[in-house]
Parts: sequence; structure tokens; C-alpha cells
Amino acid sequence: MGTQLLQKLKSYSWLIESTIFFILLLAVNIFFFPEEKAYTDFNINPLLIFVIIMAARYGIICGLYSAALTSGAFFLWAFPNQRIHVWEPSSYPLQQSFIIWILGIVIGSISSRHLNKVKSLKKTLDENKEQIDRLDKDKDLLLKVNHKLEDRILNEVHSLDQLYQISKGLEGLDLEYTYEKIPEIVCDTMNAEKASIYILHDKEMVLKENHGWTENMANRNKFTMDNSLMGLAWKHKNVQCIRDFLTGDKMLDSIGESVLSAPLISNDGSVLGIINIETIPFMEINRTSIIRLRLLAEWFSLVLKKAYLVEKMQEKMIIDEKMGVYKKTYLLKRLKEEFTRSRKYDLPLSLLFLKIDLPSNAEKVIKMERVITYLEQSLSEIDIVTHYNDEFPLAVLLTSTDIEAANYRADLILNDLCILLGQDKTTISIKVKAFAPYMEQWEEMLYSEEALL
Amino acid sequence: MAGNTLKNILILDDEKAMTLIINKVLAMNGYKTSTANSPVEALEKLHEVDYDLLFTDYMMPDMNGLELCEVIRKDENLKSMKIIMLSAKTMDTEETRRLTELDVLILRKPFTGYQLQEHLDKIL
Repeated sequence: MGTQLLQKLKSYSWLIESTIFFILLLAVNIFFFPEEKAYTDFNINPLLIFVIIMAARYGIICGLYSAALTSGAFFLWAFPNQRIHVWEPSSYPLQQSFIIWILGIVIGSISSRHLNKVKSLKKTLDENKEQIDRLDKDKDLLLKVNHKLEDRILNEVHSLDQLYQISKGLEGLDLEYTYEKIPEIVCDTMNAEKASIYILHDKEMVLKENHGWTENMANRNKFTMDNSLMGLAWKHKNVQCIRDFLTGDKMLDSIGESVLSAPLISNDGSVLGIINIETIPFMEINRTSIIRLRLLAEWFSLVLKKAYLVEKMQEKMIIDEKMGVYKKTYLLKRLKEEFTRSRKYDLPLSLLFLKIDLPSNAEKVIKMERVITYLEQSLSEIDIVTHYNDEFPLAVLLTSTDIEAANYRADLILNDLCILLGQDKTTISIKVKAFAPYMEQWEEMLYSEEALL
Repeated sequence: MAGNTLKNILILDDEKAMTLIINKVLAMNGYKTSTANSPVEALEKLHEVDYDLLFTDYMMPDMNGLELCEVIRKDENLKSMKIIMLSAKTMDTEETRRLTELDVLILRKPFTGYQLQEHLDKIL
């Protein structure tokens, strides 16, 4: 409202200026020249100058207006004061009025023409400026769109290239690399912030790798087939989405760990593991994401299956044929991997070193075979039995086993072996070494001062 | 759970899915709930409505849970607000000490419905 009034006043500024100027002149006339009403006796009348200035500044309308004001002053003021009447011949005021009107009209007309020309030029200039501004804006917009398109193309190319490089890496069928890259690919391709991979070990899903988590953050290290989102993906062998649990009566056992979970299913229909997405923008939790995750899970399942086969083949190559167990080199390789994982996720890990002194060479071979058969049957699939050295011919790597459980297992093995081998001339001892958070090098697992059982 | 019907709880988490699932669990247990997805929104709601408890996440982009609790404890109108903090992060000693000083109960993510109820019973 105020702004509108101001703009209206601005368009009539000439009127205000003329009126104020005129009143000022009259005020000067009254106070400084009281005897010369409307400056009647001045040779060059200040009111005449006023009309010329206003007409020149604002054109014909303002010229007429100021001429009218000035004539009014003459007729209403100068005439009565000088006792002159309109109908009486008195040359001066009439001449003055006539000149004022003529000058107002002539100068005003010339000025108006000039002002109109300037106005028209200004309008054209403004229009051109507006057009330039519009073109500049269009240009900026085009540049932005172009830039975004370029970025998008580069990103797509980069993502495709990255995906291609990763898939090439996965073709190498290195199991550790595969575990590491799967959550990373899931995050990259699904716009997720955090993702993890769990692998089935002895009826439990064990965390192998995650992506997007900081050092002091982690999801569950392992879980069984519960009613969590991951447990349900495992149980029902399909992708589970948190959106299905936001309404209705269905409730999850574990809250705050999953948004999307997909099972990694082998060719024979068994579940190898779980891919879990912990954090993803809410808008991304949709049908497309579910389909995409299912496709990714299918691809990863194939890659993992192949990697397992390769590992089994490699295992065969690293078997100590004399003893029928893995060679020490395989133990060291696996120990290094498991140690890194334990340090990263604070997972328990233990090693048993078996010292078996048998009476004679002939008996030694038979009894050692019995020991190995016993160990392989009693241990779970993820634990491995290997040859170690002359002092400790056998070592057992127990993944996901802490010191207490390892001691308990060692006791059991010791008792069973005593029964199996008989105690005559046979000495069996087991040295236990467990992972501790202060350990920095995996080799520390090998050189232990633990008491012999 | 008849007593719970009077309890009014505000759930704050930057992950919308998380606020919705906690909202569902609490609503099923008879609590009156509202959600917020940013600390600023939560503070506005806390000033507008009289809540009995605030559930807040620790890791949030603009202001973390600890900073939010400090703001709440300094506010004359909110300083007696009961707070449960959800966190997937293992708190260090200093963080735990500060949260204990601020009288904040910590609930580790992931959690079960039973653990959630246990914390609610403890604080309300």
C-alpha cells in the first residue's frame, strides 16, 4: 500500500516540485519584496524564470501548470494590490501573463518532444537490457544444465567403470576381496550409506565385512535365525523391507539394524549369507530398490559360490599329503585374515597347538591319523586343522571362539584324545592362544607363553 | 499398559524409517507418540507440546544427540525432560560421563522390543 502510494507520488513529482517552487517564490516575494506583489516591477520576473525552468524540466503539462499558477498570482494578487482591473488597459501584468503563457507552451512543447524522445530511448534501452538479462539467465541455465549433464555422464561412466573394475576384481575369485567389495558395491549402486555382509557359519550368520560404518560403530557380529529383518530374509529366502513392518501387527525382534535385507542363495537353494542395508534415504526404500537388491544378491551368490569352489581347490593344493591336513602356510594365511577381521570387528579368535608324543614311528602314523579324524569330526566346518611344526605337529584355528570356549574345547579334546590314544607312553598337551584387543600383529598369536594344559 | 496412555513421547531420528518403526512399537504399547526428523524440529515440538520423554538418536547431521541434550538441559522449560538416547556407536568414556551427568539413559542399537520397554519402565 505504502509502496504504491510512493510510486504514484513519484510519477507526479513535477507537480509537487512546481507547487513548492511557486510557494517558495511567493514567500520570498511577500517577505523580501512586500511592495512588489507578484514581482510586478521586476524587469526579468522571477515567476517568468520559474515557468521557463519548470517547462524546460518537465515539458508542456508542467509549463502550462506553472504558467497557470503564475497568471493566477498576477490576477489574484498583483491586480488588486495595484488596484488594476482586468478590463482596464494596463499593459504590464497582461504582457507578463501573455509572455508567461507563451513561454510555458513553447518551451514546454520543445521540452516535451525532447523528453518523449529520451523516454522512448530509455524504454528501448530498458527493453534491450531486459532481453540481455533474460538471455544471460537462459545462458546460465543452459550452462548449469550442461554442467549437470556432463557431471551425470561422467558419474555414470565413472560408476560403470568402477562397477566394471570391481566385477573384474570379483572375477579373480579372491574370497576376502569379494567379502570386502560386496557391501561397497551395494552402497554405490543403491545410494545406501551403510551395508554389511554376513556369511553362514555353523547355524549362525557371522559378520564378514561392512561399508560406511565408522570404527566404533557396528551392527550385530552374529545372529541366528530370529525374527529380525535379516533373520526373516534368511528364513523366507527373499528380500525383506522395513516398509512392510511400519504398519500392521507384524513386529521385528531386533529394531534399528536393517532397512533392507537380502539372502545370498546358492544353486541348491541353501542360504550362503545375508546382505544387509543399514542406512539408506527413506525415498530409496521402494520396489525398485528391492528388485535391484535381489539382482545384486543373485550376482553375489554366484560370485561367492565360485570363490568357495576356488578356495576348496586351493585348499586341496595346500594339503599336507603325509598327514592329510592343511599345510602350515595355509594356517598362516587364514590366521592373518581372521586376525584382521577380529581386530576390525572385535570378534573372538583362538588357536590350539597340540603336542603329541607317541611311542614309536609305526604307531605314531596310525595314532596321528586317528587324532586327525577325531579333530575333523569334532570340530565345526569353519574351524581348520593344520600341520604346524615338529614340536606341535597339529594346530587348530577356532574362528568365533573366545579364550574360555577355547580352553573348554581344549579340555574336551584332551580328555577325548587320552581315551582314544590311551595314556601308556603317550603324552598329549595343548597350548591355547586367543586373540586379545591389545595385539597388533597376527604373528603374536603364534608366539605364546600360555601355560601348557 | 493402561498407565501408558497418558505418556506422551517424542521420537527423534534423522532416519525416517527408524522413527516410524519406533513409533509403531510405542503406539502398540499404548504410548502417545510424535516424530521429528531433525533436532531443530524436535526443539520446536518440545516447546509447543508437553512431552514426558524424548527418544533421540546420537548420530545426526546438524547437531548430535549429546549437543541436543546439553541444549535441553540449559533450557529452563525443558531441563527436567526425560531422555533416552539411541546409538549404534560405542560411546567413549568421556561421552558416557557427559551423558550420565546430563541424566540421559543410553539404549544401544539394535535393540529388542523388550529392551525398549525395560528402558521405558526404568525412566518413566
